[in-house]
Amino acid sequence: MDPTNTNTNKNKDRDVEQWLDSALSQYGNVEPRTGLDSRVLANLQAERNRLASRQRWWWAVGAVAAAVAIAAVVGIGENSRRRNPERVAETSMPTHHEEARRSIEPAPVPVPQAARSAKEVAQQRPANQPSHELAVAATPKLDQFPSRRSLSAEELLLVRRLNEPSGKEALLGAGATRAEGDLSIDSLEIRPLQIPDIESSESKTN
Amino acid sequence: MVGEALNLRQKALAQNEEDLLDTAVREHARLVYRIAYSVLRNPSDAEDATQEVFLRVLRYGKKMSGIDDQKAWLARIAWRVAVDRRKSMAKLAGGTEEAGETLVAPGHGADRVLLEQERSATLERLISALPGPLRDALVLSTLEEIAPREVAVMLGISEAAVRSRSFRAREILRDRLVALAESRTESKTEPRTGPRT
Repeated sequence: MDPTNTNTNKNKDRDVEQWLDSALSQYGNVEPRTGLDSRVLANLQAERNRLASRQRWWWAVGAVAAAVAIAAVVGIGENSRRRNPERVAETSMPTHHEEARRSIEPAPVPVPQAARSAKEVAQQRPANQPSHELAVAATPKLDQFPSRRSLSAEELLLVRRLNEPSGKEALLGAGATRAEGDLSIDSLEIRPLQIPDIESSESKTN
Repeated sequence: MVGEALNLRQKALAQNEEDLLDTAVREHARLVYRIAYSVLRNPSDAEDATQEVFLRVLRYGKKMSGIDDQKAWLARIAWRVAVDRRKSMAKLAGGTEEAGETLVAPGHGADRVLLEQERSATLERLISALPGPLRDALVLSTLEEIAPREVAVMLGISEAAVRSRSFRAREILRDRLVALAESRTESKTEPRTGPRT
């Protein structure tokens, strides 16, 4: 191998190495435009202001939403109260009828065993009848008949009388005799129709 | 009273965080810019990436006071932001990554400027032709502010791997430069046989 060639190659490698070092250092040695820090800081400050205003906006939206929710709840409650005022009144205070009935109503009369058993039988649900029908029938239709009329004093007395064992027959018997009495006629006499003689009447006139 | 004290403390903490971020901008904006430039090779894109790095820190970042090594932390964010931008730019450009502008140091004579421009352009071409892992390790190693340990953390590899990749990248560059120089020498010494087309 020629020593001059070897030296030339070594020199060339060294030159290339130096060139590469210099180029690579230059490659990474870049400077930004002047004022990069201040531009970044200004951008950050603008972003902070934007975030703060967005936060305030979210607070306002949250407050409005809470107010709307509260108003809706209050409105729904008020609406339901207006829709069923009688029910609320019934549950809250007794009516005049109830008070009157309580004052008139005597102590509960013992119902005889026969009558009670008949009532129980009547109240018993048939086997094939569904339970919800009974429930529907048992609840009063307050929307159609808003005020239930309680029994008057006379009606209560009549019910009491009917509940007594001898009262029913006495009442029915009294009614039957009165009806028959109305139909009976003490003295009815129907006389035969008398037709006057025609000839005699004519001669009289002539 | 307790609420006011808490409020004041929160305000003081927020102010402290703001001050820390502002200090980090003043101290490390240049490094962030250089990292972004080493990837993007364009001053405008590098500045945009720098802005994005600090905006990310402001929006999503952890408390600056809880970061041990702010420089390495910001360098990692800058690297990720720049690589993401490069990918999106490559997608927009149809899959080809354009070479950045040539970098010329001001204050030199015209012949020197021309020489450096040519050198920068040549080096840009050669580096962009390197395989991705070698190129990343070499590019980050050229930044004097970043130690090989920090480069290893940024790339997610060991420090030895960083050194090895940088060495291999330099070897490839040297071989290509030698080949380039030889081809130029041959083209200069060759006699002209006919008119240029």
